[in-house]
Amino acid sequence: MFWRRNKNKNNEYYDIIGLAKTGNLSLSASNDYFLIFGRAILCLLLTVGSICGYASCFGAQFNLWLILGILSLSSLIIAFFKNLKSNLWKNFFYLAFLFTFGFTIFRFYKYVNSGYHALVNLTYASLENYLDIPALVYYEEIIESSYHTITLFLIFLGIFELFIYHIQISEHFSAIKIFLLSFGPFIVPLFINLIPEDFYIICLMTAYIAGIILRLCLHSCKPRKNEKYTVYKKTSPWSGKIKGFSYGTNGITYFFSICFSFIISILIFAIVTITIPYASYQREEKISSLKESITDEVKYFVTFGLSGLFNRYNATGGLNDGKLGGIYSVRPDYETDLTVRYVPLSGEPVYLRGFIGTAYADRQWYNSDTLFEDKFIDETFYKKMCEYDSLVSEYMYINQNYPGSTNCMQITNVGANPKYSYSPYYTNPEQLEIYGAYAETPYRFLLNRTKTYNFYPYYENYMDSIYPVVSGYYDFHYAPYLQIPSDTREEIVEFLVENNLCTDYITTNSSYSQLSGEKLDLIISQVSESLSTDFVYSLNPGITPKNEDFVGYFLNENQKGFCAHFATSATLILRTLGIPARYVEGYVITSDNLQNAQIVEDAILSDYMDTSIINRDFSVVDVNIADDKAHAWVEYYDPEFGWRVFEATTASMEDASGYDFWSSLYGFLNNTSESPNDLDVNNSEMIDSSTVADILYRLLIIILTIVLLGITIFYLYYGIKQYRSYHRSRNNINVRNYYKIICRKICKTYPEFDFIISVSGQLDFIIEHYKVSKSFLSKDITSLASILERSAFSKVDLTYSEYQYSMKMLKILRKNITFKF
Amino acid sequence: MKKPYIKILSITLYIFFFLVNCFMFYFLGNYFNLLFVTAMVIIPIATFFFCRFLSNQVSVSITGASLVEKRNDEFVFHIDINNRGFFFTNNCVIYVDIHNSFFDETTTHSINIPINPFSKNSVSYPVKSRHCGVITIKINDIYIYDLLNMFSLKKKVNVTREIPIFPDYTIIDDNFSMDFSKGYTNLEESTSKGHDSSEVSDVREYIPGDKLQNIHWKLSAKKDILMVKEHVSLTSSQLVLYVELALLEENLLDLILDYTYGIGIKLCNENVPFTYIWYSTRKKECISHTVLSRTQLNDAIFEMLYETPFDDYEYIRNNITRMTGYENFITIGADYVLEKKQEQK
Repeated sequence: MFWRRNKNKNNEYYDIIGLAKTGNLSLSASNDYFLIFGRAILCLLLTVGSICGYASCFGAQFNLWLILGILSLSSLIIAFFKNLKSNLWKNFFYLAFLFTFGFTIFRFYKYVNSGYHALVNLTYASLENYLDIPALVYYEEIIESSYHTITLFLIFLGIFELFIYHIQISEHFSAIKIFLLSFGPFIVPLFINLIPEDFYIICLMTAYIAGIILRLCLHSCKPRKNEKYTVYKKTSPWSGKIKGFSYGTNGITYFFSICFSFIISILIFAIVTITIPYASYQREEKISSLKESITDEVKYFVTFGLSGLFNRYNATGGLNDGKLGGIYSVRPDYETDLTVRYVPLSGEPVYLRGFIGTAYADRQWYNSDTLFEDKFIDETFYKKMCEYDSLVSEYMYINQNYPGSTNCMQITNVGANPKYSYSPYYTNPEQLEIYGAYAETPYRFLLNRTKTYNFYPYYENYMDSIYPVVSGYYDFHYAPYLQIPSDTREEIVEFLVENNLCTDYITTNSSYSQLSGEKLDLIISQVSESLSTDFVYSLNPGITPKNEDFVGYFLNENQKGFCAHFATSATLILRTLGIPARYVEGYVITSDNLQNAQIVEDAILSDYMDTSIINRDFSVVDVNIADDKAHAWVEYYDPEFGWRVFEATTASMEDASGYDFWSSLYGFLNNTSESPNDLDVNNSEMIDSSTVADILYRLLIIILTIVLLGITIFYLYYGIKQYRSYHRSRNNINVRNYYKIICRKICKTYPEFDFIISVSGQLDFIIEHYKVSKSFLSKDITSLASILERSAFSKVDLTYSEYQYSMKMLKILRKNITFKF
Repeated sequence: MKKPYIKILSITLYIFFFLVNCFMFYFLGNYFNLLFVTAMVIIPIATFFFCRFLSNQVSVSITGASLVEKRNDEFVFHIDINNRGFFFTNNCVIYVDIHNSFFDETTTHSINIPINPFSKNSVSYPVKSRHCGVITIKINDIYIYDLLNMFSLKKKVNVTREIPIFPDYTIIDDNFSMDFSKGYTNLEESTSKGHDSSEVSDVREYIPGDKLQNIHWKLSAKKDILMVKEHVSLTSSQLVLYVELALLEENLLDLILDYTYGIGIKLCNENVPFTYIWYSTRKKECISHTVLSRTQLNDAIFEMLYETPFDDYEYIRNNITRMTGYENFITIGADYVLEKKQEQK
């Protein structure tokens, strides 16, 4: 048959004229028993080194001899069956193996499960010590004797691994997969500076070195069709393009490679342990910065699961530039953003003002910089706003009667967002950078710079003293601080009405209510109370759905969030009630910071505060402010006092264990919100059968989805590969492949077609049995036959015109060929 | 002087593995990774010396068939690599040159053989040749790669083996008829009883094994030593076969040799002496080879197989009489072969 000739390797001619191969090249030294033995040993070394080594890292006790015995036997059996030439027997073995494995593991599942739990608990204990993560959820072991259960678990895990290693090694020797599989679990103990016992180190080293040797020598797998040699074409720099014969795999080679690896592993182990003993190495070990940062990531992962790895405030500080709603959860990195040196006069929080949000739209606050650029507000307002801020600060700075006295604060930007100045209330306006279009650079506080601010500390209890100056400031432009999107306004009104909260004060069209005094205080306290009683503070509030209003979703549905949620909602509630308000982001220095503050011994107190006014015993301290101290709060306008701080964020915290990735996964699988530790592990045998069925059902859905996805990807990949190979290959191959398709099609109807040897004979057959004679002339048949012959046997590629002609003719043929029953 | 050759891909892969290991060592800072990094530094050095020692212990030979009776017969030749030491390698690349002297074609292929300690590894090539000629298998150098397949050492071996492949004589069957014209008529006459159409060309001393009827009794009596007459058959000089080894299509040249050999065997079986003449491109002259026995026939064919075909067959054909002195001969050339094929059909 025309297209079968290529498959017939026995007729493959060497380049020399007339010299043909009549059989496969054979190597005298090939020995299948050595090969089976070599593979069995290699897989055994990998398995024992990997799983037992892992267990030994955590000091687990198990019966090594039993594991070695069973795994050796299993490895030999698997290697023997893998080496069989008959696919039938191989498949039968796979089925028998899987059935036996499944049945046995089902029979001993309690022991295996318990062994797994024991090993995981050991891992957890070590992780807990190293990473300093409290309250990891430990499993309760059903069977107490961990020695036996771990042994059994390791045997089952080992057999499973053996099977995978044998597939990988004997079929395509994927070194990377083998490495990932065997070394992957080791990352955990190695990361926390635990190493396996010497025996397992040597096992792994032997296996890896042998693996590298076998992989690099390119003789690790059998060639196709069980031939001893494969043919390839190689380009040699000194001989040009020549044909080469490479042997597939060799048992003796396998065996000697492993022996060599074993000897060299022992030698290297001896040399290294003598020259650099483990104890001295441990003392001198330096932890890399990468490892330190990864340790933090691991902490988040262990605590929060996958979501712990993202959705954190970025490393340049905890401020989010007024962006809301896109954050699933907040994961501070606890890195220092600011270092502040000042004199704490009381335990009250000190706010460092960064971002000031004036206008709200599309889940985002816009500060004055942006607004100025976007023409949201006019320049007149902008200048007035600056003027007002300056007025308050100036007054306080000049008026020495203010009980707080002037203070000095040195702030160093370690990792905070450089866009903002982080000035405390109320800083001398001359020291502040000019906003917006007047600014020389978009960054006001470059990293690693230190700024010194003179300020009057803002204390809520002393706000009375500011009254005289701001009360005379009547020209305040309040309109931008009452702006609110109509949709959000509706949501807020709904919330206020439902909760019967200050409904009398709801304004229309954001008109200024000019509330002040007791009425204003009452409204503020009512809003504060409402937010603190009905809402929960949570770092994992989840992402606000796309079609939901950020504030509306928080107030009316989710009712949990972090400071940005509270501050935004409170700001907009106040605006709805006709009170000018703005959203502020920055850092807050709390009593926690002061507890961990370091007293600066050599600092002169008078440099940091006016000691002539307050003559008490104070100290200058250095406070590190991490991004967990990033905060959002509200400033509302009180006609009598000016801008006042309103802390809208509630103190009521969500249960710390309320969110856990693993619990959520368990909950999804189990269709409950309970985490596994909520269940009584001792009663695990009494799990309701419907629960098991439900779990299985969900698992089945997941597996089916993965399988379907896999099939789709495979077909897509296969299709793309076919398409690309078709368009990239030579004309000869394309013509030949196309003709092959036609031949296969005809063979389905006429099996005798298979026996026609010559191409012209085949074409005659087609013309005779299918009605294509009208399109074909006799000269067409001759020329097509000649082209097809050449496409199959000639090394010279067809010309483009020949290719086009033959493809055209073949397409006509294909059109006329129909399947007949 | 051994020149090391390197394999970029293997080195790149090894460096990749090494860098991964270094990264792991930097990242994990574990003692376990330190061991691996050390191992990966030491192993290439160790394997280099391994390879160097091994190259001194290795020898190569080619064994197998010494002659193939007819083309298209299967034959086997082996490339043996013998290691006297305990070092080993997975990759020893041998570049094998195969040369067909008759068609003057040479090709090279490479073959990969593992070298095992204290043992001989051999690769068997079961092959058959479609063409006749002398196949020369030659190995000049072998390249012994280290265990990591990163670099190689070249070793000169210079091993050669010649395998003559004879034409397919079975082309001549019992029904084959030959038109030997005059030569064959004379031959019939000469072989009939009472006739001796031979001439004495030389007289020499008796050597045990000579036929008694060839003893020159008169001269022996004179000299008192047994003298033997050497005959030259007059008829054999008349049956001359001119083998036209012209550069024609490959198949035709094979067929010419097939007919030449087949006819020769048939004549030998019938005890008919004859002479082959052909033009030798190597010697630039015509060679004549008288065949009286099967051994002489094989010698003649063997000699022909070492020839190379010539281009201008018309010129040679026209001048063959002048070059050899034979006036009557049968030309076994392309025309003859094609004619016979037609007849067979």
